[in-house]
Amino acid sequence: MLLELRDITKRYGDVVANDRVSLVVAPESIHAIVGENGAGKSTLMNVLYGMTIPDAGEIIVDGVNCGFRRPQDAIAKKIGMVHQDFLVIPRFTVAENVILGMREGVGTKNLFRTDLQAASLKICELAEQFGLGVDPHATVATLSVGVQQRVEILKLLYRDADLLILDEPTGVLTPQESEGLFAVLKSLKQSGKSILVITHKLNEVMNHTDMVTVMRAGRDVLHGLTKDMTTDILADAMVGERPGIQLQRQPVERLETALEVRGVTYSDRRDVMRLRNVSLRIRKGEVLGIAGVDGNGQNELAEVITGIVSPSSGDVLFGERSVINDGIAERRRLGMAYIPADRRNVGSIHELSLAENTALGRLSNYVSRSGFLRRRLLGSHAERVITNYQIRAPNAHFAAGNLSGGNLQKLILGREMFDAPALVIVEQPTRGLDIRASDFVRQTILEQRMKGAAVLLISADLDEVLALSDTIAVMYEGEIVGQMENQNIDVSRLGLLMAGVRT
Amino acid sequence: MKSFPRIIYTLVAVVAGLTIGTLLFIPFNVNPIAAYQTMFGEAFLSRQGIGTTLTKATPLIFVGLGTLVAWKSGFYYLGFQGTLYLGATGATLVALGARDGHILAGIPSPLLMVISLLAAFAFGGLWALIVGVLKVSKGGNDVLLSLMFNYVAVYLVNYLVTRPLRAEGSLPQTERFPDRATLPRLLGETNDLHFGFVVALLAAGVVWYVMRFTSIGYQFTSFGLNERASRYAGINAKRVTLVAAFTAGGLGALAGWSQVLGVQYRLLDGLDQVTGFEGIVTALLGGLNAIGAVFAAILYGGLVYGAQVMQRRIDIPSSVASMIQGVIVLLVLTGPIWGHFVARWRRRNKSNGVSEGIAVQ
Repeated sequence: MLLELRDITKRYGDVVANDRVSLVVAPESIHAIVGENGAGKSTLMNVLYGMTIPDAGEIIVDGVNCGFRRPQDAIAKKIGMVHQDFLVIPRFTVAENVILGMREGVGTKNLFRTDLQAASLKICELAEQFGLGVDPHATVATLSVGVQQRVEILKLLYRDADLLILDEPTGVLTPQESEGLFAVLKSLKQSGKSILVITHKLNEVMNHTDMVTVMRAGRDVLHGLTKDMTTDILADAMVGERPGIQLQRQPVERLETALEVRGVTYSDRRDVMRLRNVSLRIRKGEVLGIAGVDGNGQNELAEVITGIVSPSSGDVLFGERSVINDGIAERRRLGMAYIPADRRNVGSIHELSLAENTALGRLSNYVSRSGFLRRRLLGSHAERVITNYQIRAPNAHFAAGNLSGGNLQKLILGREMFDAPALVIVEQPTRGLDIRASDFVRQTILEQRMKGAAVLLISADLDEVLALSDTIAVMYEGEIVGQMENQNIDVSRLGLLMAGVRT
Repeated sequence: MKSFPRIIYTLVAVVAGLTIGTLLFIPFNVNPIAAYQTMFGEAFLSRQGIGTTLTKATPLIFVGLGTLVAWKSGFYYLGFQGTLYLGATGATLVALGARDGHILAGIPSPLLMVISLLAAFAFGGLWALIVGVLKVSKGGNDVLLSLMFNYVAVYLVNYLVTRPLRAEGSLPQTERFPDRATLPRLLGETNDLHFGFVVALLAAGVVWYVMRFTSIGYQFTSFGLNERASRYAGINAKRVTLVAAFTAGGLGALAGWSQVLGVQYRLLDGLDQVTGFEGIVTALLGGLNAIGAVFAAILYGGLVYGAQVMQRRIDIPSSVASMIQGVIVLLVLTGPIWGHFVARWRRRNKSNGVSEGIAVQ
């Protein structure tokens, strides 16, 4: 299949997610799209799969102009997509999952019967042909993540897809599983399929793909044959010329250590290792910025420090004493503040009022010794936060869910900064906010630094990390792969580290 | 701010339900207005009827309060039939213990009431706590477990009244309680209304206050609304669930306490088949709010009693009234959906108006 995208443009309000993006995917090739978070990769794939309708531009399949309006249109043109989250029913067998939603191949017109036998046979053939190694009778819940992903690929093959789109396919895989996946993709290519892979891992691009497109800030900035590229060229294109964020960072004397993380390792419930032997130290008045593509363990690091999850090994020292056995509430009482990435669902409760949200995580401040809630005190504090942080809301009884993203973030900031915390953890503090709100949030973070707080800044926005941090650490696959003072920094080296290339 | 339209919805739904209900009278050749007059006149306007209505509302209030405490805390407990039976058992043990020659014989009546109330609360609370512990420690499903525990409680009482606590005679029931141990009547001996109703109102006030003005109430509400945000805030998930389970079970048990001490004066097989579930409905009717639960329970109690009156006086089967009741409940619970339609309809009219305005210009 020959696929061509011409001048795809998609705007969301003032934000241009795709700005005249063009792309050609050659038949029988593996084509990679790389770029930072927010570069517009996912939007482009959603356009291609018919989930997002572009404002302008054309999708041309084998010379025919197709305006996809629904995923079904794309499927009819033999385009298939493997999402980051698998769309499988765990209790069904592989065969049942593969034929799910299909009429053809079910084998009978009768609504209440399916011909699993024939489907299983065809699945076996496909699995054999492409070296997938999947048993059609196995229950999906019992399969490893890598094999479940192959079931997703099988679904597409069963529907005769000629172009397969994979969105960050190796994000959830172990290194061995990743190698296996690329072996499968190679055999698919050899039998005539085209493959489009979204990734941020440059090593994978270099080792396994034929063509590569780099996206930055909604534009396609580089196209070429992979063999003509080096990781340096790609990283430079990804990171690009950066106008940067201009902020004044006053020098602060930094002596005392506020937080120390020692050799923390953490595996999640599915036993995937999310943090590998992470150690770091933040002094009072220091902003330590963690750069890295989303999902490389940054969130888990914040949760280990604040006590939301317990690490399998390692220690967290706060003000020279170990807090590893203290609960979340106790650590907050000791002076930790945390602004989570998901402000709507974790940082606030939408049904509750602004005043009630001000008590979230700060409840002990507003409770009398006998357990009564001091609503008047809470209300006056909330009013003060609303005034000081210029939150646009009629009063403190307003439901938090009605606030805009920027105002909600200000409320959370106001709440978390109220007690002059000794440690502030901020995660993706300006994601989705407009420039004014972003600026306010960043100024607030620097104010805390001036007051002597230690700040752990986690952000996938490299410009933000560069503008705010005194020290920068890069996380990749749960590890800190590099740490440096933020002075005359080599940005392309940062880009390489974020993409998993060690220098 | 929210409660204003809620009351409007509820009233509109009640009127709409009654209007739809008039259709049900057609086969009986009865004037629906006269039928409703009989029903509501007796249930809500006569002294005797009000007493009966409030008596019927009493256990519904207790179960409704239990429901709102549990459900607002994210603990979807449906075992109030069980806690009602357990509460009745606790109250019965105290009341029987107050017979002459038994351990609590010398204790004055008011103190006896407090003891029986605490016993009932503890019995029901611990009963619900079992489900809470299973949920917290083993990840058990609160809905399923609590439903299953209902059967255990019913058969436990069945066993108690057929064997160890059975009085002489042909029926499976305990001896009649000594008067000292029962709840006093409020409107004279011929009127059913008993002191349990006052306790129910007090309990509603306490629940309302606790949910709104205490630390634990805040934790209940937050946890029920958003588990992740509550964990982030350092709210102890296990503790919240366990405290909510105990409190909800205890409140639900007071329904049994008020029934055996205020109405039956003995524990008997088949004590009550429906209150444990209808109380949940009243809690939902009341918008999971303590004050709302009281009004919903009184409305519900009145409808139940009115139905009985209608059957007695004008020979309309009480099932007709039950159907009307069902329609009202459905309309109230779907109120927000209707409200959504109304809002959309209004918006559409409004936007039409605006575009016309532009066209005129």
